[in-house]
Amino acid sequence: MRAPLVDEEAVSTADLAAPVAAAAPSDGSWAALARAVFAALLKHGTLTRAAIAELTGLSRVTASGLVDQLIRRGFVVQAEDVPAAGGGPNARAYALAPDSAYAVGVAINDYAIAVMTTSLSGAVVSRHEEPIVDIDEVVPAVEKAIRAELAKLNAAVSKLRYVVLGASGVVEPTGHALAYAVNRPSWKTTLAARLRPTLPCPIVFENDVNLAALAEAHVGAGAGLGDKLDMALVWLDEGIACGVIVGGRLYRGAAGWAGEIAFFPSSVEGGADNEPASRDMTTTTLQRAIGIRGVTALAKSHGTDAESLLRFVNAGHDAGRARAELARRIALAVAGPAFVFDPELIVLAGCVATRGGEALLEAVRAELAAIGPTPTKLALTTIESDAILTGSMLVALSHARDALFDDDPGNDAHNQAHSQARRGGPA
Amino acid sequence: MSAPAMVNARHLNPRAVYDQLLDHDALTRDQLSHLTGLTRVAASASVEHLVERGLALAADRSAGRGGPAARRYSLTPTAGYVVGADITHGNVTVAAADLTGRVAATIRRPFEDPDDAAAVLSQAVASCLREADAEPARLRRVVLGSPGVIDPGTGEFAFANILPTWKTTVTAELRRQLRRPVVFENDVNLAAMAEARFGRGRGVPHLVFAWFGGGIGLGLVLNGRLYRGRKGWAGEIGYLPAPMPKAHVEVEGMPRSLHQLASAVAISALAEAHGLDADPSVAVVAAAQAGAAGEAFLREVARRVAMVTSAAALLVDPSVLVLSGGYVTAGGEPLLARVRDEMARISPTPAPIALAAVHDDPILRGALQTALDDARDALFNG
Repeated sequence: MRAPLVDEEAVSTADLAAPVAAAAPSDGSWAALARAVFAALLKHGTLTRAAIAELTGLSRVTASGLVDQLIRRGFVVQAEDVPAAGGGPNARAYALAPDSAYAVGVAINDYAIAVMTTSLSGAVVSRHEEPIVDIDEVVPAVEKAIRAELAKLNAAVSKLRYVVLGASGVVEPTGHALAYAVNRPSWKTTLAARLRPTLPCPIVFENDVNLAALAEAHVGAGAGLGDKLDMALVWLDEGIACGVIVGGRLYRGAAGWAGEIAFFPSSVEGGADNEPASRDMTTTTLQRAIGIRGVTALAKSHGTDAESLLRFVNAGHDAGRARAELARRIALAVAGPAFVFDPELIVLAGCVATRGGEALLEAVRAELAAIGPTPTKLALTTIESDAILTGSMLVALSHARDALFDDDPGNDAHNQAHSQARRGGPA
Repeated sequence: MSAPAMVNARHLNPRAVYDQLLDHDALTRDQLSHLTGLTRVAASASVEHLVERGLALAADRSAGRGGPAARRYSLTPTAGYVVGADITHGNVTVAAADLTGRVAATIRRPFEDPDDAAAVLSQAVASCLREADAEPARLRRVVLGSPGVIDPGTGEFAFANILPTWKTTVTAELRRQLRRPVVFENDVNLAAMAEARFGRGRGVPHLVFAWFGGGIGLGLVLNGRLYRGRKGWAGEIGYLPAPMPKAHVEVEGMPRSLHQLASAVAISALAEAHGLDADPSVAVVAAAQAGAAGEAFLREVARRVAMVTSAAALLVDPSVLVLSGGYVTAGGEPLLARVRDEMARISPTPAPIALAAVHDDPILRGALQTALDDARDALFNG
């Protein structure tokens, strides 16, 4: 009768935040108790056994036993810089061992591979970017880059706990394949599947705009708006798409297609000739109208270039009209999530949004109000760069932390293959 | 790694037993233990807790054998009641159900833009409870369905489509008069809930219910829960700008939106342009029966519906997209087949589309079910 069909696997922005240490473990399982101890140390840095017991609500004996188990596994160390005042084991302080595990976020587009590595504590320990030389050889290039970053950190590959690959396209709910890959049919089935056997941890795909939305909700314009935030991110760049956050969690839809507004039939006439029209070629899609090529075509038709149009510089006699048309088209993309999801906040991101800045945003607000009444607030992204990469790193970190305690303490020789089999990925 | 809200096991076990008693007429302690997975001691303690609170009672003894082990328990039907209502132009239909979900009474009253809506509604609720032979003190929840945008934060109307003279404080007044939790809910949202529970949405996580009536609206049930948006505006898809066909007949005062493309008024204008009856429901049926002669009209209607459903599918990607209301219901499978074709031209999304399966009083059923859900939750969250 009651059907709490909660998307268990969806990534929560709350998951990404440092877990609340004061909350008592939700169930009595070893993993839940270990997570509570971990969360307390993550939040407070250095704690005595007594403080851990107090913060987690566990008995001193239980807390102390868990600390010993986490030390044995290498995730917790005795803090060296804390003087043993008064001596005795009770005065010793403990901290997370940040180099005991790593998570990697990867962002891939047509031109480059970017890799961001984080330690268990959430600190970004390396960032690497390289051009894609051969688009069909992107899998070995990603693997090589990840291994090279770990080597630079003197970290064994076995310490890698999770990899998230952000790429454009529709990701199947399994996270293991693309259901739809624009311009990259060779990636459709191969990318994650070919990486998995060569790296000793779970590897999943996530749609790049979904990752940008998660990053925005967590460390961008949505930060501080609560862990039940309803938010949408409208990505205005080469491609057009929308990432949807419902109740603080990424909303992918039933098959990963949620927010694929590029296909929307629009009332715009013309648009970029080198972008697809609707499937039956009778209407201009939003992609054709306001993808970066559509913006370029619009600028050209008004005797200017995209950069000048967006920055509103070298404004010729026609610049005002061109700018108004641009805002009108962007409002068409914003209207979808605004009227259908009524989120608290819609964030505009991508190069068109950031180049256009506050002046463009203000014009889009006016055009949206002309479409209909909506209480949704609009804002620009506050993430200056690497939104997709940051999103994939944050998701990988969240999964890595979660997976640390998947096995029970009787199985201290962390059986990676077993763990991997059980945790296929976030979807 | 977020810590889920602490749930007190004291409330958890009786809830599990309660839910089993809802699904079965009468159960012994052994059966309850088996079905809930609780130990026999815990199941017994839980059922005793329910009996103490008057929520359950010991029924007969199975097969004539004595002893507490054979005693069977069931829910006490009179322990509480909920009321649901469907408010439309001219009428309000009110139904009362007991906590087991059995509908005890349904009444209908005229309701024509009264000056004091709260008084009229509270009297209708009282009449319905009398008819159901239910003590007013046992009323636990009232859910009223009406067109309009309701702010989930305050429970008041941001605007009321059909009853413009309603005071914005109608919810507060009604709560004062009935001294019970009262909520208004958008009618399309309630129909979506009914479809999610009893219709095409059973067992799937995400349902979009697209309503084609005087206006166009979506009801969204995401992750099994009604999704209202921040201020209750979710699903107002009619405002979305739409490309207009060349032969489009402008409707006075309406922007070029999906509403202007596919509302009953727009389809009526289209029907007249095709020489068909101005009633869009009559027109689609006639066109479907006319064979080749009706095809152009039917195709164009399908194309317009597909504009709406494609936008919904591309944004929400539901597990199932359910269509209902006015000319879409009248058009039935012949129209739906063409909508599928047209949708495939626009959107590559895989969402299956279907006509609504709940035909009888979907708004009222949605209202009662929402009230029951809330009332049962409240029993165990005190």
